[in-house]
This record gives sequence, structure tokens and C-alpha cells, in this order.
Amino acid sequence: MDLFFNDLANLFNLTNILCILLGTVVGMVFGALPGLGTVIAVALLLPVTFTLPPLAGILMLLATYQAGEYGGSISAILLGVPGTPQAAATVIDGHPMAVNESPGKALSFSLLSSSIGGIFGGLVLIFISIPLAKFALNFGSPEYFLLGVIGLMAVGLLSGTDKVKSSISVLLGLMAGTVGVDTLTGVNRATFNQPELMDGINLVAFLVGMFAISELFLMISKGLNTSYSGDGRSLKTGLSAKEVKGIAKPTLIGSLIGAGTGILPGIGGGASCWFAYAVVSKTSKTPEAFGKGCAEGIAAPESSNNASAGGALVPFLALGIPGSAAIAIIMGAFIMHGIQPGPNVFTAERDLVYGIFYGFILTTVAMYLVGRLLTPAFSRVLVVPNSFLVAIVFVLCLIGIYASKSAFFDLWLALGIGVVFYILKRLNYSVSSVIIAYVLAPIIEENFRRSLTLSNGDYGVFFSSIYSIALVLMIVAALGGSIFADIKKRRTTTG
Amino acid sequence: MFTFLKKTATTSLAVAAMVLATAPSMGAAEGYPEKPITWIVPDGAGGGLDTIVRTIYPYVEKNLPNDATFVLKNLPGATQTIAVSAVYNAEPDGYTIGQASVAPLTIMPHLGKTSYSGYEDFELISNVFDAAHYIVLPEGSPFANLEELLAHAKENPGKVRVGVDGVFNVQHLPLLNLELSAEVDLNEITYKSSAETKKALLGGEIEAGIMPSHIIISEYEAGTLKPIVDVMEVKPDYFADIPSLKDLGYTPSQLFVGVIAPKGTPSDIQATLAGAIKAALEEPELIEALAKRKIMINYNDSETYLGRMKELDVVNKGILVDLGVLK
Amino acid sequence: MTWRTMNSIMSIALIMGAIGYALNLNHSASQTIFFASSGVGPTYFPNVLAALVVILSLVTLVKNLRDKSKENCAVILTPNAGYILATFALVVAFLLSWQFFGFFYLNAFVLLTVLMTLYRIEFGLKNSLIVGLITSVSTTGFLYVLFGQVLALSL
Repeated sequence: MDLFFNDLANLFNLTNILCILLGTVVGMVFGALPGLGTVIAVALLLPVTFTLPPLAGILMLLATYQAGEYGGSISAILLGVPGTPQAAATVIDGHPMAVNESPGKALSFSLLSSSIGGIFGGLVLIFISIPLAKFALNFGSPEYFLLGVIGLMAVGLLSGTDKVKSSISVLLGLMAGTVGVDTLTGVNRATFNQPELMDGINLVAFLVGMFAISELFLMISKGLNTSYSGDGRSLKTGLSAKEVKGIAKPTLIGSLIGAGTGILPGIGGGASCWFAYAVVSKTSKTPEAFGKGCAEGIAAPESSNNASAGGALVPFLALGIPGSAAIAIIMGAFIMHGIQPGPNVFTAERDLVYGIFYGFILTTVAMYLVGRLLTPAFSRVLVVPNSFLVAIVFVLCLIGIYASKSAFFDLWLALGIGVVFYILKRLNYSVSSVIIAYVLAPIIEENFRRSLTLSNGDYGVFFSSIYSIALVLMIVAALGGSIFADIKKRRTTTG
Repeated sequence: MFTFLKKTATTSLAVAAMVLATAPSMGAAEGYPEKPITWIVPDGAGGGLDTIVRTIYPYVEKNLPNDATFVLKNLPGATQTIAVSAVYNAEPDGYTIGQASVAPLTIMPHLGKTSYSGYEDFELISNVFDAAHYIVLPEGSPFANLEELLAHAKENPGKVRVGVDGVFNVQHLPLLNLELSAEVDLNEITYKSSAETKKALLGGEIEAGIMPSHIIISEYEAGTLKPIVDVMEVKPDYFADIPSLKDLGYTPSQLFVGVIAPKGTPSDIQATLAGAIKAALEEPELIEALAKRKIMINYNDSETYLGRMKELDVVNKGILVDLGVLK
Repeated sequence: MTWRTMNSIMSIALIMGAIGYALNLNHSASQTIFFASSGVGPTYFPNVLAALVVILSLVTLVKNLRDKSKENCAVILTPNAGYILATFALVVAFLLSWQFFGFFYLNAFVLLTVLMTLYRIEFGLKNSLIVGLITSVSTTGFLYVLFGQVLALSL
């Protein structure tokens, strides 16, 4: 225990605490601004860390990363515009709750489950990072493909009333995900000779166009000089013990799923929130409440995206493999200080690594406290008349898209996507299905084709490890289950 | 409003500079620079190359006359060709320069994916650093060196799987060239990034992979990954004992990153910039900062830089012709 | 316009989009020489996806045309449609001006002022103009501090 207290003494100094607080505030604000997001927030603070001691600098970036995951849900809940891709699933229940019930409550559910998810991720990091990192290596290309398929099946659970239109939405998302230079052969796919499309449709432009710009048009229709909630009654942020207990199960499931997908480099928070949402809505006692502003539907994705932040540090620290764009930038901070993440970092930089472990928990605490402090202010956004919101958010969205790549092409693309999705939304096509399919398309397609190249064309590669067999069985079971449920439903309705 | 006024002022200066530039360019460097110089970075904010440029540029500013300042512009994407195209389309007045690796200058133009036709369309100011990429084996690999790997591959065509981080790039072309000259058939597995290759190698999905030297130091020390041969020409000091392709009698590739400018940039401005870069790369503080990050500083003057580029262009074009991609 | 017409137009647009995507895909793929790697090529999945979109959109189209219910034949009501079109037009003008002349902050200031004045015009021109100016000055100032100074982005 001596060592433990030494670490804590190193951790609690003024520089570290101030850095964590700065990172938390920056992360939360950037996460909440549509288009900016975690990656830009971390990139912005990276140069600041060069002048700081390694631990303080790294904790600042981790605090930014962690708080950005929660920040994304603020605009998702208040405006129906996810600030980050990881918060896209939070829109489904968070926004209805904010509009119909209480924005303060919706934010509190999100903050609480995010914090618990963050702590969970931190504990996973502290106690089982090395064995877990080794375990994650068992998931190769075939397993990634199968995981992607499972993720796509989750879309079925989100689909609206019109099954054909939902299927078209999924296909559109998958098509959008295939645009760009094919990783395996270098072929340009549907790039229409635009160099800006060679790396695919820019995720930020796609997300902002689809969620933000189309939503702004809808807001104009709702009335410009009205606001979502006219009075202050709904701004209360307190949760009753019963309400907290109600989200215990979804938060636990979300945390487990988030940490589990977080340790797999390349899957990360963008997909894990959907996995969590699907599992929780399927196993809930009140599945019919989902999509209408249900607390469980906020807790699941929010706990999972924060847990995946801790999970993503596992392969990064233990193996030197950054699993997401934000982690890749944080890796830059390590390298700047001459620290090589990888198998030796636990022995060579022992103090630093344990400082990071405990500090990571501290970043979650900071996120909770800063979140509590700012939530009432944030929830006031819904008292602001739409005229202000539409004008300001529109400009913020445009600058957010431009900030990531300085490409005017992306701005026009986002505007075009915004118009198209405004119409699609009004015609009952499912926007959520499009974004999850877009995120999963490369995971599914690339890993499928890479698996076949690895096996020289032998499809047996998908049954070659116990993990892949287990995943195949899961797919079969889920398919069988839903067909069975369908038949049962038909019998009860017809008979 | 204040920014507006400032911008108007710089615009009129820009117009003046353009008028000056059309006059005979003798003495164009006098008074240079009069306004911020745009440095185009072919990488997103916070990316590997971006952070390198951000480390270097204050030292270059310091070594330029007239209180020079740089404005960095991030234009990532399409194997750096978006950034290089932006340099190509910029005014050759010395107020736009760009960072570029070799792929957008010696590979992408041959594949017909660029608006410019090759490195000849640019002024090559100076090279800044080199990188080394290694063929890496996992712990417990049955092969001790390249010869054994190739011998096994010869007996088992298409069975040895080697991971690379993309197609027709600085890792893929040298591998294809090695296959041609050693007359073996490897199964090239493409990943999206070196991080993915590393994961596949550690997870036992592939028999070997090509990876940049600086991301495998920790694994090399721990013994979990074993670099066996440098596919580039320059070796980092921490892997000095490991042979390069050249040592083993094969054609090596090269990976170097330098500063380029639009064709027609006045030659004395080019010289001013090259001088400042040279002086910056000799500053002990910068040397230390880059050494910490395992960056191999390798200053080449314009002539040497051009010579290396020419040589590499011939090699890469040759590989593409041999493969039947080019006629 | 009725929902039925709009649905039909969208289905036809999606079919045309999918065909355009497939044509461009197969055209650029045929121009590149690549290795026949074992298994599935780069155009296989996208072609399947495009074909499925065409088929399902045809299904939607037929279903929609046969649906002559009252709701489907109702005229689409879009409150504030004029404001939506005006917003779209102003943003297009803003993007054009920013792209071709630069001066992001000036453009953003003008866009915000015009949008705010327009949106609040029911309170009278003078009132809405003043509120618009105050909002734009503070927002543009915030953007300048954040992006121009802190992030040092050249916009």
C-alpha cells in the first residue's frame, strides 16, 4: 500500500489538479459544440502540454478526452444534435426527454451514467489492463468482421415503423461508408474525381449535415421566437433515489460493453454506444418506452462511451496501439516527452503509468463536478428562443466542419447532406440507422475482405478460432430469436 | 471590424508584393518576408507530421530576417496530394511553402491521381528529416533473418503474409520490389495504419509486417517484436546493427520529408529559406526535442534533395512499370 | 405538394443516386489496374448495396403510389417555409463569399446580423436589428478569440 500512497501524493499537486480542470472544461465545451468534438479539443491542447511535466500534460489531455465524451451528449440532449459521433445514440432518448420532460434531468442522467462509465473504465485500466490487452489481440480481422455484423443487426432494433425505409437508410449509410480510396486495392470508389473524397466522406461533415443542419431547418418550422421550454420549472437537475436506481442496470451493461469494445482498437466509442443502446433496449422491462425519452436509453450509450475511453487506453498503454484518433494525438504527447507506450512502459515509467491510472479516475471525478456546476447553465439553452439558437448554431457548425480540414468542399457537402436529410427525416427515413451503418461499413467490409486475403479465399477463416465461432453463434441466436419473436407476434395478432 | 482592417492591409501588401514579383526578380529577397508566410502541412492538427512541423517552425522563424512569422495551414488527406496541390496552385512569391513526403511527389503522380505531373513542378527547398521502415517479425517467429523468410516464401508461394499500411505507398512499393528481385510471391495484407499492422503482428494474424522504426522501440526492447531489415536507406542509431536492404544487396527505397515551394519562387528567397532551415536544424534545443521523438534530422540542400528525389522517382517508376501498372 | 408526390420524388432521386454511384464506381475501378486479390474485389459490396437501394426504392415507390389514403394525399405543410428557404439562400451566399473573398469574420458577422434581424422581424425592424447586431458582435468576437487567437486557425 506504500506505493499506492506515494502515487497519490504525486498525483495531488496543484499543477495536476489545475491541468485536469482546464482539460475538463475545454473538453466539455468542445464536445458540446457540434462539429468540433474531442479530437480537435485534444489537438488544441497538445502544444500546451509540451511545457508541462509529463504527468500533468497527459492528465490534461485525458481529462479533455473524458469530458468530451460527456460534452457530446449535452448538445445531443438539448438540441438533438450530437456534438460528437459517440453521442449519436444519446439523441434518440435524450432529446425527447429534454423537450417533453426536463432538460436538467436528461443532462443529469447523462452526467451520472457518464461518470460511472468513466470510473468503470478507469478500474478496468488499473486492475486488468495487461491481461486484457493480450486478450484483445485474439480479435483479428475475422472477429472484427463478425462484430461489425452484430452491430449492424442492432440497427434492426432501432428501426421505425416502415421496415423498407429503415432498410434503405441502412444501405445509404453503408454506401456512404464505402466512398473513397479502397484500403485493400487503392481503387477510387465513387469519388467523382474529388480529391477531398479520397479519404471517404468526412465524418464531421456527414454528422453535422445529417443531424445538425437538418435539425436546424426543423427548428425553424417549430417557430422562431418560441423556445423549447418557456419556464424554469423543468430546469431542476436533481434525481431521486428511485430514478438513480432505475438506471443502475443499463449503466452497468453500458459500462461493460463500452470497456469491452474500447479495448479493441479501431472500434471505439462511435460503435459501442449503439451496441449498448441495442442490448439495453432489448433486455429492458419496458422496451416500448425507448425512443420517447426514457432514462435507460440515455444511461446505456452515455456510460458506454465513457467506459470505452478508459478501455481505449488499455491497448494504447500496454501495446502501444492507439485505438482512436484522439488517443493517437495523446500518444503524440507521450512521444514528445520521450516516453514510448508499449510493453516496457509499465516497468520503465512505473510512476508515470500509475499516476495516469489514478489520475484517470480523478479526471472522471472532475468531469462530474464540473458537469454538476455547468448543467443548470447548459439546460437554460432550451429557454433561449430558436431564433438565436438557429443562427448561432449554424455558424458554429460551419466553422466546426472547416476547422478539421480547412476544406470548403466539406462545407458544401454538409449543406447538401443537410438538405437531403431534412427531406428524408420528414419522410420517415431513419437517420440513426444511416450513421451507425456509416460507422460500421468499413469495419465490416475491410475485415471481411482482409480475412479472405489472409486465408487465400477460404471461408473457413470465419470459424477458425473459438472467438469467431462464439460470435457466429451469437449472430445465429439473435437472428433465430428475432424470427421466433416475429412469428409469435404474428400469431397473437392474427389469432 | 479590427480583423477586417488588418486583412485589408495585408491584402494591399500582397498586391504590392505581386507587382514586385512580376518585375525582374533580382533582389526579391530584400526586405523578405514582409508578411506572414503560409506553411502548408499535409496532416491534420495533432497528427505526427503536424507536431513535427509545429516543433520546427519557431526555430526557422528565428533564423529568418525581418521578424518573419509563419502561419500553418493543415490540409490533410489523399496521401498528402491535397496539400501538395495547394502548393502547386499557390503564387510563387515566397509566401507559400509546404511540407511534403516522397509519396505525393514520386508515386501519386505516376498513378494519375494528381493535378501536377511530378516533383519537377516544384522548387525543392531542402530536406528536413528521414524515416526508416523495417520488416518486423513477431516473437517466436521461425525465421531469424530476411534470407530465411525469403527462402521459406520461395518454397511456399503466397503463404507468407506480410502486413503493410496501404497500397502503392512507401511501404508497399519496396515490398513489391523485393518480391520481384528475390523472385518470391508474398501475400501482402493491407491495413489502414501501422498501428493496425502492429496489432495484427502481435496477434499472430500475419507472419511479418513493415513498420516505421519509432513505433517498435518499446517492443524491440521487450523482445516482442524483432526488426530484421531496414527497407529505407538511412538507419536510425538505435537500430544501427540491423542490416538494410542495401547491405543485403537489394534496391532500397527512401523516405524523406522536406520543404517545397511553388515552381518559380525567386531563387534568392529559396536560398534565404534554405539557410534558415539549415540554421534551425543546427540549434541544440531543436536537435534535442527531435531526438526525444526519434526523428532523424537529415538536412539536405536543394541540390542533394533534388538528386535524391530524382533517383527515387526512377526507382518507383521502374517498380510500377515492372508491375504493369505503368507502361 | 402532397406527401405522395414528395415520397415518389425521393424514391426516384434515390434510385438515380444509387445508379450514379454505381456508374462512377465501376468507371473509376475499370481505369485502375489492381491486383486480383483472392476473394471479394473492391466493387462487389458497393454494387450489391446500390442494387439493393434501387430494388427497395422501387418497392417504396410502388407502395407509395398504391397508397391513396387521406394522410398520404394530404398537402405537405411546412410552417415558416419561407424562413427555411431564406436561411438556406443566406448560408449559400455566405459560403460563396467566404470561399471566394475570404474575410471569414466579416462574413460571419453579416450572416448572423441578417439572420437574426430576419428571424425577429415581428418585433419591428429597429428592435430586431439592434438585438441582431449585439448577438453578432458577441458571437463573432467569441469565434475570433477561440479560433483566431487560441487555435490560431487562418480562416
